[in-house]
Amino acid sequence: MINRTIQPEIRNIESVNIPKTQNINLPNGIPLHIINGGIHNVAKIDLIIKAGSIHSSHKLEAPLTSLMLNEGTAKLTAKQIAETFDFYGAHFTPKAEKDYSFAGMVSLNKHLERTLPVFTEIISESTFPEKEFETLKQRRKQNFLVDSKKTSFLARQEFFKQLFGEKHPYGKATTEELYNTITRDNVAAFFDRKYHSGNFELVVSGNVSDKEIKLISDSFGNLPIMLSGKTFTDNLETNVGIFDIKKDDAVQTSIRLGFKTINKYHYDYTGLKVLVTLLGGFFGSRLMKNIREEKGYTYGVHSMLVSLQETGYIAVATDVKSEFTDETVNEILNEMYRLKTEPVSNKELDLVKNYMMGELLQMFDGPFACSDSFIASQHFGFGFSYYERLIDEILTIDTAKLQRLANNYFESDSLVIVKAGNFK
Amino acid sequence: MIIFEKFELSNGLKVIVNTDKTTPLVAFNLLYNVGSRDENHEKTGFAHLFEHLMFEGSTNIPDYDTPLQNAGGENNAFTNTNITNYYITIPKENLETAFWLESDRMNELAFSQEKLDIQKNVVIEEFKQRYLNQPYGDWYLKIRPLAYKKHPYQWATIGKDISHIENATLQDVKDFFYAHYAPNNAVLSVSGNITIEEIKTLAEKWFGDIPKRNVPVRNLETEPRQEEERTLTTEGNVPLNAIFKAYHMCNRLHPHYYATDLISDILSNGKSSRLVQRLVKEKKLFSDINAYITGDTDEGLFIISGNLINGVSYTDAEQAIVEELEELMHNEVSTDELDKVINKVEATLVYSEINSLNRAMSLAFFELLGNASLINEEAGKYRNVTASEIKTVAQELFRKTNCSTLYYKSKN
Repeated sequence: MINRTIQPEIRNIESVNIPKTQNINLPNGIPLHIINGGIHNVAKIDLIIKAGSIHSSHKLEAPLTSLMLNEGTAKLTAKQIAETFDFYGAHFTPKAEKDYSFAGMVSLNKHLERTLPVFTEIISESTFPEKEFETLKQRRKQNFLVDSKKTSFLARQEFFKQLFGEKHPYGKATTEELYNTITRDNVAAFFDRKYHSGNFELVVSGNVSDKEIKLISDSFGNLPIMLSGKTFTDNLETNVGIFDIKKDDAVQTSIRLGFKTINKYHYDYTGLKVLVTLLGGFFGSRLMKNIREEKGYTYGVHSMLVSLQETGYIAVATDVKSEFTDETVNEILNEMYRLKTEPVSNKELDLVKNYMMGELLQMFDGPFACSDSFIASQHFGFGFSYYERLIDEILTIDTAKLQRLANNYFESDSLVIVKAGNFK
Repeated sequence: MIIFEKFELSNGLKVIVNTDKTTPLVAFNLLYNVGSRDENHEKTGFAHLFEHLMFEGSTNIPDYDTPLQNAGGENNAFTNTNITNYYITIPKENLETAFWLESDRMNELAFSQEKLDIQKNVVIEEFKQRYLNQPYGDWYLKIRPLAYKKHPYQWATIGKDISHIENATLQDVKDFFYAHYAPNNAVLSVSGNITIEEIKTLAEKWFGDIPKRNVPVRNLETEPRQEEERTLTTEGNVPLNAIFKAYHMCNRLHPHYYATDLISDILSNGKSSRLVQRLVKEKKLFSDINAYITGDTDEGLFIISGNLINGVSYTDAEQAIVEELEELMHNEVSTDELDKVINKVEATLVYSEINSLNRAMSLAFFELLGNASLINEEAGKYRNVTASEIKTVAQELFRKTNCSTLYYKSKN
């Protein structure tokens, strides 16, 4: 009989195979990064655009521009664009975030000659037809009204509003009023200002040969040369405190709790990443163990460290049984406090290290995963080098450093705590 | 084309092996042939509650997650009406830990009242988070009993009611385990940089001595053909009126399954699809509309769900949907349109084969359906669907009396 009580021998993961990117500048200056790999004849093309909401004067400019890209160009109607992508089975995914916007396409290599010209056209020659704009705006407004009934949405909006201040694009909340004031011309002007070669960066991944690279280089390399402009934003202003949003028919309370902190540019960021993972970044984390597995107050609780261009932040998010709202907030604060006052055991640190190394293997498993990881770090100009630093940090960090980081960065006097629901 | 090999242990565990030399990770997928359709109608939500308990420790391993995380592995699970599926991705070097963990919890769980009580609370919060604390979140719970009168698909996997979960006893849990968790009721599928010999050795070592168990023969009531239109109106604190229409469709192995799936694509897959182009963009009746199939193993549902634009009447909105369905019943789709949806399915199948975990999951699921090799016939079966078959299937599918409609009205 085998002894089932003993775990088979495990080996610690000590390295991750990070591929080399091939980096080219197209004739018009657009940087192109190629991550070649995989056995399937599929190409993923991602355009990073310096056109997030931080670059806009109206909160909805960036997201609506992004969603309007495939709604018509000088040569193609919205329907023709949709027909082409659908006919060749290509997926087009636009998205706008706080700092950047993105336009991505996944296509079978064999159809690239058909899909690529449409992709290039919509990111450079969109015309924003009024009729399509009105339909989209109406739909988005209705979706916003649905979201406004969710405690998680209400809590998140309030959290950013208090954390970054309403004047700053990071903190501005979406309102119905904003949908009533945005015009087609706002969006078209934002597109003209921001969607051009000076603000583009390209990442191509998949099983791509010289033939595909040439197709891509030719189509993007022909866009006119432009220079990136500067953006000026207001200062970030945090309102520290506890903010309650009452929703009588809610059956759970959504809690968002956090504070501003360093971003990826700071040398302590990688260490802080390990600390925040230990706190609430995975199933075996302190918060999950305490609040879900020991107390059963919630289905899930997570902490995250997020890096933006102008700041970073740490946030804890959970939806809990209404009557345990305050207990949960206290438990989250206790867990943060404990990391300052008690050193983490080596055993627990090893667990987090092994978990994080496994996660990194996933983040570099195949060309598309590599490409997503690359993009997340390339916002800050680091490419894959950030992950090399992170791996180094995970392998070397000790319990003393974790405690020092907790004391330096878990600041209890700058906390923003938001509760949305039907609680006492 | 996914290349694989398979073998069976003497206790009935089926094992499928797919080699992929490009990845440092192994996907390990263990599927149990039990879902919410196997529940007693007075004890619903059980298959899913049980899935939670599977993470609370087994006889020889008190803590499931820690050893896995120490091995750099990640795991999760899902339960649906048909199956319960557990999966792990783990660095190749540490693969044996996956065998150790999964075989011990197949062998026997460490049942305890305390753990049951905590997971009951967690599942109740999941119930609230997903279904009750979301606008329209409970529509699925409402439409199932309208469409099904006999078959256990009449309740959703989360359960009919929170009280069923609250009332679960330790004895219920034990009975459920011994009735359904057995090597002869499971399929293990492994994908990664592995060989069949390695997997044979590991499977034999860790799963080989788990006894075969008496799994009750599934004998579900079949749903009689629906012969009358059914409707239900409900009101909620939601901003807009919504409509949900459910039509009974064929089972997963029926030859018409592929035509049915393509019909849902013609209607709403992608921006060029009919419902999006005509009802959202041209007529401006809906802010969102979707058509899709549940993909159930037994006879499932074809669902159309839409949010009405503020001010649009239910009569106009519903009439527009019905006209679209009638068009499919009366006119054949053009070659171009059919090619489009088939191309799209083909591309989606290729995209889904890229990820090793997806491959492992699909192989296990098709093996359960009858044979893992069916996975490689999918593209061809879609390719063979003709315009006239689509018309024939639409005529049976969209009969008026085959439909259950839920009107989800805004109170405001």
